[in-house]
Amino acid sequence: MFEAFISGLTQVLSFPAFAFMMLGMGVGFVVGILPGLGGATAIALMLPFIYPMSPVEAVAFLLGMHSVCATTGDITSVLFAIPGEPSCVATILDGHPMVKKGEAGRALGAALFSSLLGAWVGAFTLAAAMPIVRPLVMAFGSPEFFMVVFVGIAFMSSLGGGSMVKAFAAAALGLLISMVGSSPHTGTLRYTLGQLYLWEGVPLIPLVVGLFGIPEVVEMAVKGTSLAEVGPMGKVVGVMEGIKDTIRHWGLVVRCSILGALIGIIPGLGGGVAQFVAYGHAVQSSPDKERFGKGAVEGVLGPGAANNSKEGGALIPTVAFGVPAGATMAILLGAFLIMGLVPGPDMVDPEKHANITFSMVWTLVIANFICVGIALLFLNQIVKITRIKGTILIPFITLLIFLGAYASENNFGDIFSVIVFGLLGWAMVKWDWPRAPLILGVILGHLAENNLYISTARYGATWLGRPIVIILIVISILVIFYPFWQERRRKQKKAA
Amino acid sequence: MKKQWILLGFLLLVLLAAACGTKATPTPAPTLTPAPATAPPPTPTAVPTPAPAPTPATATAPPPTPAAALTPAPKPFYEGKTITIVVGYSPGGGYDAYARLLARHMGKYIPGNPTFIVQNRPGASSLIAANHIYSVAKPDGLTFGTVVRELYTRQLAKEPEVKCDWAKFSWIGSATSEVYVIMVRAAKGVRSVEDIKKLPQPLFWGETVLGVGPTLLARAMEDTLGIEFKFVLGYGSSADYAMAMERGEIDIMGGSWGTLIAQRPHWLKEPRLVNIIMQGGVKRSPNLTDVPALGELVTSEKDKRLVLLIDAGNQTARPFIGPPGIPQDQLNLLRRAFDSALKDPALLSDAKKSKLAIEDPLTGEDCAKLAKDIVSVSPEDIAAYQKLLKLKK
Amino acid sequence: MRIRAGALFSLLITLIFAWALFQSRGWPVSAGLFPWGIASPGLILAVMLLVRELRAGTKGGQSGPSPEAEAATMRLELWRTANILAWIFAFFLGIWMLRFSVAIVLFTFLYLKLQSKDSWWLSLLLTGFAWAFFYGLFVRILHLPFSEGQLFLWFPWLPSLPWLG
Repeated sequence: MFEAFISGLTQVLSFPAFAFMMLGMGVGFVVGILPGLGGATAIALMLPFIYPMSPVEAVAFLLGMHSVCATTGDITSVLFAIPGEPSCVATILDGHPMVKKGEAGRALGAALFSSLLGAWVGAFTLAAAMPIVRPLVMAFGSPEFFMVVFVGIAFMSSLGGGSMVKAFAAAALGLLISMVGSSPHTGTLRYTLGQLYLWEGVPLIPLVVGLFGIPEVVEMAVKGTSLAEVGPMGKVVGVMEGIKDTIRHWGLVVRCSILGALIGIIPGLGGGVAQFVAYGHAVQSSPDKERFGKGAVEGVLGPGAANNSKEGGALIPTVAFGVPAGATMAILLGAFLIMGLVPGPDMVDPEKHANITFSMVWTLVIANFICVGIALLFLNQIVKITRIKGTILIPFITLLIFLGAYASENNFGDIFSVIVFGLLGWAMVKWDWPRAPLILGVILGHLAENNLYISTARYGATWLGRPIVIILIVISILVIFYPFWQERRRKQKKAA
Repeated sequence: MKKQWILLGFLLLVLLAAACGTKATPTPAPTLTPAPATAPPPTPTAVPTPAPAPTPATATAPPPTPAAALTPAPKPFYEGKTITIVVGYSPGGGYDAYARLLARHMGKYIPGNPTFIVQNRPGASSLIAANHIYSVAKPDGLTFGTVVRELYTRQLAKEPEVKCDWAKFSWIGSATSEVYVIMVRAAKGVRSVEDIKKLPQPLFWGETVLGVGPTLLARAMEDTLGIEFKFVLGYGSSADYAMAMERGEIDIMGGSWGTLIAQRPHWLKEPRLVNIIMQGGVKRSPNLTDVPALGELVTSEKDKRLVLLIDAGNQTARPFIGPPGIPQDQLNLLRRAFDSALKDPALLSDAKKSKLAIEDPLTGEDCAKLAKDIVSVSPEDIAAYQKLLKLKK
Repeated sequence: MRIRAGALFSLLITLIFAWALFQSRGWPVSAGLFPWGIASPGLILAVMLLVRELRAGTKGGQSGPSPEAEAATMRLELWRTANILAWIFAFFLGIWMLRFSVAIVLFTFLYLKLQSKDSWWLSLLLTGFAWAFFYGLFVRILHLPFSEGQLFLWFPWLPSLPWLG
């Protein structure tokens, strides 16, 4: 095994493979920054170029591209409140308020550095999980999926910040939005308003881009400021501060990375869930929950780490079973086939292709290292964008919002969705409704419904007795009641 | 004030870098979707694996098409033009892969060597793209596309959202045919359809939704063979229920034979994870002669017609269709280029690497005839078919 | 003023939940269970919010440190909000009626020149830049299908602007 481990490294660092990785990273950098253009599309468009490459070269090229996307996607999320990738929504919640406070450098430093650590933990998980991956994946069936989603929903109670009633109402609205489309069990068209566009549900990208991007544009115009509303004009501070934050909260970063990697392993859950579970964990593990949503650096570190570590995790079922853990992995699987690699036990067998699997690990490690290094070098410059006069930025941000939404599905309905959800987002900001529970509801609703139906259709009520399900039930109860318990203890301490 | 200008200049630089970056980084980008008629030779680095792209031949050799000779003097219609292939799904799926394969290789068989680009218009299981091709795209021979093979079933079900007629599309051809196979977990000890009937409990059949190819087959087995299944629906994708199959959450599933051997060959290696008990279709595929076909198992003529109706989509498994009314000249050029491209060794080698099967491709003429037969079935057959779209109760 | 508008938004959410429940009345149980299970508590929560805000509105409508100064800020805020929402909506209409490429050029230039009050050359430069970004990446490289403006489909005799991409 160790030999394969080293051979994977040397193969990635050898000449053509390394050059291909850099090329892929260049593409991934841009694709990650642009909203709407996702890693999945980018990989699909690049597939024709890998025909002449050797497997390791192709792995370096595609994974280099893909792993960088999640990292640079955070930059757009933090700066403009428009998610660069669908898996980078949660970094907006605290990252963008930090920008407004004039801490753009710190927020980006934290996002990038935690991404790097997250990617490393994810890669490490991929390497470490290889021997035990089979029982691990086998242990998670639909009942367990449902419970993981349920734990995610339980986190909603901690995402509220202000009014609990509003948080739960927003969550209900999000869950309701996720019901739009044709029901898988009966084919009933639900809330589609007679539009073909809504048959497969409300597309996520226009929704988040509108919900977060449009209110941002409105606010900039109303306040007449630059992106950063306050802060010292003279010196750009904070990138180092963000890195220090990451190190200061290393425990949180590592825990969120492991969470991300574990959720990434489970096919069918995907990055949307990982980032929010990590965010919820960051909120809950902090003694002072009031700071969240207003620019708490932990709220950037958690999802920043998780949305990168999930890539390492997601590779595991793709490589070991040929079961992709999401759209991007499905396309990567197609790429593996082109390279002549057949997923399955051979891929983790040191006598056969384990070195290629390890070259994936190394690509994740090295590509993120280089990408974050380069990004950090330029960060002080990028941050200056936040001080440009707002009215000059507004047309560009608006353009990015509409183009980003359209580029994901090429449907005019996306433009309309941006307007609708933009207005909704603006109203929610104006009247203090939290948007995070809504997004979480949209992402989780469908998963919850389908997995609950599958569980009951297959197991009746007996699924509630499965061991992992019971553990997850306990966890979700803890998640819900821990804040109350913590509060009580604090009061007792004060009294004593 | 001065500072602001510097910042502004910087913003410009950043955005410019972004724009140039996208233009410059994927150096091969211009040849990405268009057919790489003059693609650069593969990298000189030693590539141990099979022979690389066949580009050198196309760069120098005269166009291998006889069509070029037939139109000597006037400028060919397609010269300097761009042909768009519309795909009803996002990049990455099978339909997209076949479209991009053709986009790479079809151009050289059309006089004038047009450029090909691929556009994705996903949504409503490709119905959005089908309606677009049918009524929005101009029938000028510059647009055609690919949509779900079972689209005709929704036309037969008279769904009001289907605003196109399967038989009236300008058929370019179908790139391959497919066979559905029914797999049962080996642990169940089921080796044939008869064995299922002997089981004390119905098997759990996993799928995404009702009304797609494999579930149609499952429902047809219930209605024609008197078997009963318990449907476990709601999986996100075929990958998800394949995983459920490995876990033992479901017992039986249907899927394309090509996908099975390409992506999950370990299922058939000893110890086998699954037994293949049946194939869809009227008669056995030449690749699977030892597996009975549903068409042999059913008895009545009516049931045989039903099997034919469900399986028709698999004959044209990767359909390529244009808007109705493409001028006959252009349509013929496209059809012949399609046929030739599918025999091109370069295309076949790419297809083989991507594990995309090219089995029994059909010409546009054959597809059009088949489509006409399908949509003109009797109301009685349609009624039997519509029952398959709902659960039996 | 502010409080009453907030109540209006809560009313809208209440109506959405009520509509969702109403729509799902005829669905089969397996399709309707989740929508019912979500919309019912959602409706209750929204009504709770609505009642709470209406009460707050009737009780403490007049309070505030200096009502006149606040009213002035609020008017300005309202005006600016309406203004930017109008711009965004105009951009949307432009994309729909005139096609993406034309709308981008018009919106960027007009906003920079009229709203941001930038100089001619800067507005032109940035507009050119926005268009080049759009055209280079989304049209040339990615081949996104951008449909023709609705206006040109309604009135086919209108001269189109093909040179804008």
